Amino acid sequence: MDAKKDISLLTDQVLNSLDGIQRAETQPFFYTRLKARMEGGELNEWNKWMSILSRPVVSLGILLVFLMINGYIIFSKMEAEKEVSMASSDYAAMQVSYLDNNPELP
Amino acid sequence: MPDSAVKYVPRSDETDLVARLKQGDESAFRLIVETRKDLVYNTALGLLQNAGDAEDITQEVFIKVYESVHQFKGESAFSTWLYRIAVTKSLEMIRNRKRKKRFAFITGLFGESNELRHDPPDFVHPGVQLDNREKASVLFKAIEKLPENQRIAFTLHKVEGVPYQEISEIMKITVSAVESLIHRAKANLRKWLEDFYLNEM
Repeated sequence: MDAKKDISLLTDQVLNSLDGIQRAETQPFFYTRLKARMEGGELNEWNKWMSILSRPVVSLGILLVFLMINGYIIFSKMEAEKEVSMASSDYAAMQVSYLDNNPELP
Repeated sequence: MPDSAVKYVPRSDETDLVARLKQGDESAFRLIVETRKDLVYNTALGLLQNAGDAEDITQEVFIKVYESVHQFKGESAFSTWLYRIAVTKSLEMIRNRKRKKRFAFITGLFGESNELRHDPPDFVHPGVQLDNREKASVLFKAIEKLPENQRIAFTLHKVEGVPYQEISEIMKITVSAVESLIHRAKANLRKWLEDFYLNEM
């Protein structure tokens, strides 16, 4: 019973332990460090693009688009080949031999 | 001259300062940084519980301010906007940490050696009164276990002293929702702490 009471008291003390807390302060010369970071390439366009491209969602998206374009090119090429072969077979069918038209010739 | 020598800017001057920053005035940017860096740092420190990460996030917040001040329409106070960016950036870092921890665990299963070997040391907030440090350290450990929204509301209120009204503007929820979040946070913390001390006995 006493242990439970002690725990309850201790818990109250812990919950109130942030009373009177002071605001934490940055280390001196923060602005100097910030400017150095801004001028040192953190805002560099190239870095910005690279950080965007290196995100898994973006890189997987690009890969997906690339695969879709690839698939489209292969598919359309196959279609074109099919059309060519069909046209050539039609053309071949139209090439009737002279002998076929003149069976009476020796 | 040390950076901290710049004096506090009254809120009435905020509009003028932001307008100057939008025009690319570097002295306005410096004044904004100098007068609000501790606000951002303390918020990030309360959420991240790591001084190095908090400094990193504070820098990122001001870089973001510099880049996107044109998006600030003045519908809320400038400090509210700053708090919102600080909270968002801190949460991104917390999620990144969790992802890395998960990734380290998975690679650890396959025998890679980049798993985090030990937990970081207990966090002690530098602004806590000396005789409360040990207890506050336990409390910060418990705060880490809270759900995200409860953690934000409780930390903003208890560590940074932000009133409920401003927390509601930062989190874009109603004041009663903030009250409810903080009430639930306290209940969860109490439960966690009681279990913690019961196990210690």
